[in-house]
Amino acid sequence: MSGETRGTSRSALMARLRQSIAEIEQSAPVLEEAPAALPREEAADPARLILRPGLHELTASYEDMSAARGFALAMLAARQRQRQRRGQAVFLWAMRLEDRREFGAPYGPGLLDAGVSPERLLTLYARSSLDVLWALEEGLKAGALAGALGEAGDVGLTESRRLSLLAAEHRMPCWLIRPLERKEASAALTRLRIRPAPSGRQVHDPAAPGAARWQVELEKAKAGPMPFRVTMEWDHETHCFHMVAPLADRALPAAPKTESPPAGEAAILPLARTG
Amino acid sequence: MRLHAVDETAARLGLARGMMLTDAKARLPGLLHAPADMEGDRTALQGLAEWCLRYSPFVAADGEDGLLIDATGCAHLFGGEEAMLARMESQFAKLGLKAYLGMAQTVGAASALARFGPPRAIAPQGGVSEALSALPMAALRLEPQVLLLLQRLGLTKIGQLYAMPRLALARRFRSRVAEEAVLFRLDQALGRQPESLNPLHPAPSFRAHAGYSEPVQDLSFLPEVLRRLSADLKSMLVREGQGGTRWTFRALRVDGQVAALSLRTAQPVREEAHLARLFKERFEQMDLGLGAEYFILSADEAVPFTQSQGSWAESEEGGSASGQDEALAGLIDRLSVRLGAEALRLQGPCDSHVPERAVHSRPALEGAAMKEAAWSSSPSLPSAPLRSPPPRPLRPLRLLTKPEPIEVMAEVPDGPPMHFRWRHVPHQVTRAEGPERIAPEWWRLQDGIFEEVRDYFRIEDVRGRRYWVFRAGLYQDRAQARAQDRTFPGGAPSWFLHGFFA
Repeated sequence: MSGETRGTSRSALMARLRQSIAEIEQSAPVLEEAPAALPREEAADPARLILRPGLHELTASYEDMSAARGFALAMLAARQRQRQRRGQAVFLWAMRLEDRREFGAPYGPGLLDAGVSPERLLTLYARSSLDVLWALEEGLKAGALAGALGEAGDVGLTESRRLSLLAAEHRMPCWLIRPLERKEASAALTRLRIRPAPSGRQVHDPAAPGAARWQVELEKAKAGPMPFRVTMEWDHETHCFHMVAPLADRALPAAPKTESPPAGEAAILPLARTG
Repeated sequence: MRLHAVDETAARLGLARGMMLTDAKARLPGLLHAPADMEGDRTALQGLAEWCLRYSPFVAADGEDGLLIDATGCAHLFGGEEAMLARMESQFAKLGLKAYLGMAQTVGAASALARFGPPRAIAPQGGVSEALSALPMAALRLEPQVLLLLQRLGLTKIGQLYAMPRLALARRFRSRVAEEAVLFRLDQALGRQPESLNPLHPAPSFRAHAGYSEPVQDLSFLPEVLRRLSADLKSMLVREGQGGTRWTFRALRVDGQVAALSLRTAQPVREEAHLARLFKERFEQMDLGLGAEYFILSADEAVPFTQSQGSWAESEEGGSASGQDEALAGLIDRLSVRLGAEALRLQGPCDSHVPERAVHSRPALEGAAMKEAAWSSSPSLPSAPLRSPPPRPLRPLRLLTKPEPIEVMAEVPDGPPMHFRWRHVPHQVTRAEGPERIAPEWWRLQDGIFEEVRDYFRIEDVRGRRYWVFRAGLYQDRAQARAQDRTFPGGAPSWFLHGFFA
């Protein structure tokens, strides 16, 4: 009698296990699924590529780290605009304490200038890269953020894969700023190399630095376009990215030469081309 | 040197506390002795008091060698007063301690019975004076000189005091202080004077506890313990409409030590799942030693529980906003618990024009207070004409905690630097905006804090890196200061790098 019940419970257990394996196997391809081929216009715009849900990496050399951070912040601002109507616009920015010592803490009034509200930015100063990654994972899992941004030194393939899966599962963008020297393989959807670029012209004072510009090189994009390089500009007033000029010998999609789009409607559009 | 404490064998052989060490050694040449560790004793007693939280939430150390436990309403949990004392004795015995126990309606009587009464003495309801009558005067917690005085008067037993009229008693003493002390202690013991114990911990608002017959040694069992306790606590909290904001989880170990975890939450909490997540990160810090057999979870601070404490994100649909808020509060709790409350921060504006004092950053756990001090200009969608210049010059995205000195070459008085060297790397400036003059706040000057006027420049180097630098001091000011005070370092003002732009 007892043998029989044990037999049935075992078979039930096996059935349950089989089912859960099947579920895992079924859902895995969904997570792994390459994003459908992107529209041409979107594919050529790094600012759009990195707002997709998933893990994105920004790399920069040590001297250019500030530029990469600036680019990431501009991106947060763009994302904030994108998500504001849905009532979700809190971000997490996780960094190591040593990064704060070396490059200072995010500065409220400056964030405000860039279009990120400081009261919606949780800043985390962790002791190690490991803690940064853990915090990012928790941030993605909580489902309360509009995006998570991390600065970490050591990120292995396993860690990036975990982040990548979580980000895809929770339909949220996660950005990692990594030093260029670390060349580990990564499971990120996109990898951008950021370099600073001389700023745009300022109308009021030609001798003064104008709108921030970066040279953005798309090094990797899953299901995206071939690597290319563009110069992008951040508009402080409308809080959106402009593409300045195609530096690679790649034809950009024809963009209508319109004036700035109605604020709040189309968040990011390739605009004025001065190439 | 005198004896501070003696064990049972030594006491049987005639040694007693207060005896000279040399006398004792003369009597017993083989005597083993060690210097008294008063500090260690005190710490151990405190630890033991924590451990006694299993009997009652109100526990206090009594002098150097006693513990007071307010057992009001607790005895029935152990099956009556006798059973409670028997349990205590056996549990202390397991720790290797011989406990002398006494129980009475008043602190004074309990203390007297424990120290001088029969084993596990319990003064029956209304029978305190009878129970105390045969005890020596020393049981009344009196000073040695008062005891000596009583002895001279032929008063040795507490009972002798009862029959004596109070006035007669007062007349017998020469010293008023002694008289008052005796009457006061007697009244305390008999309950005519109130006396309360000063508990180790303030009363927790809510408390749940559970004992296990087998000591728990495996940390992986703790989540189960916590689940059981938090389920109990939740029903209490729900009944009262409260949620806890400060929590303590104590594990009372079999060796008489206590391992405890405390944490705070941003919002009132009562869900088991939430607590489980918060404590999960910390369980590994608990040292269970040889095992713990008793666990207490307490909500030390509780506030009325509301579903949503204001909204972080103004949602137009409204529906999911509170869910979002809860998820966000949960995230803040989790990160703060694991990485420390100081690690996760939010910034608020401060009323100052000096850049480093224009913001203050606070732990996100205190976020509720933060929301009041909102940033003046909201970066919501700009709908007004966009082409007007910003009201004040741009601020950097990151600000160094301490401005770093830079070496400036090719300087133009009152102009931006042309070349500078920062962290050993030379930079050639191509564009610059400024100066933006930021003067020190005069009220700080009044307080004797000297700060120089700063001229800030927003500069860009050849590669397109953008920095915020400033020159401290003015050329003419420095010359003047040098003329007035020879010790002032004259010469050219110094330059600093303070922040980074995008």
